[in-house]
Amino acid sequence: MSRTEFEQQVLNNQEPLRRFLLNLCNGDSALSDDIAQEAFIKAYLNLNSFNGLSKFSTWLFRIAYNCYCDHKRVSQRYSSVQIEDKILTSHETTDHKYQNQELYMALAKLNEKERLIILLFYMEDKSLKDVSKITDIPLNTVKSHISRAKIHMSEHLKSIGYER
Amino acid sequence: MKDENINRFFKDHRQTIADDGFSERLFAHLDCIPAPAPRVDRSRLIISVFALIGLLLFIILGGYSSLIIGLGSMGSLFEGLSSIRPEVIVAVVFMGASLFAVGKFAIEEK
Repeated sequence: MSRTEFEQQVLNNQEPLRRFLLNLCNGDSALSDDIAQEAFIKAYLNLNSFNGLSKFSTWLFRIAYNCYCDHKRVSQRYSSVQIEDKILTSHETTDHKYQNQELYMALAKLNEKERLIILLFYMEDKSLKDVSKITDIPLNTVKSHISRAKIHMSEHLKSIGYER
Repeated sequence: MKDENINRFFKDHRQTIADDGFSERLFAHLDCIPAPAPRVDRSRLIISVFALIGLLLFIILGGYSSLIIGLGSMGSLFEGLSSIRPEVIVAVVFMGASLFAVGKFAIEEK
């Protein structure tokens, strides 16, 4: 893949990748952009190891998820108990703040694996197979995480009167 | 809660992330690091070398005469084909199907 093709891939994938990382980092846009940048640089440096067996975006998300895990290992600041205390970034409008808060509150009801899988499956529209590749979790385990997460989400969404 | 409700919840809450110079900053950063070295594929060369070595060994070690003897013994095996039993046919068909299944498993179409 040439530099021009890679740049095109960056333009195509930056939004979903940054949104995925933003939600994983509970709304910390500075941190998520740092991780996204690191992921893109790692992808660029390892372009030769991309064998084309999976989609480029799946490969990129896998790298980004690994970068996120590395970051988390270094600083354990982003544990699930802190989600509800999250301070949203100042440039967001009130509507967006409320919308995001609602999302983060719902995600806070899930454990880490469930949150990761739900974000990929529902928010980023990844297939079960792609979710399995990105997270390195067996397909059947992904399915059971999704069904458990749906139960947890359902309880929370009912409690906030979202069900229509 | 139905699946479509959860789907709708996530669609309603899907944030739009503006580029805001992210790509430009990234490209500027990529300009500062060395470009990845192009991939060198030597598999064709290695396959050719090993195929040549195999052919040479075949000729040097008298592979041709062994092949003729082997084919001859195969011929004698098929001499008694008229007395073949149904279970042998089933076994051969089953083995063929198994090999086909293994082949399908080994090469997955994307």
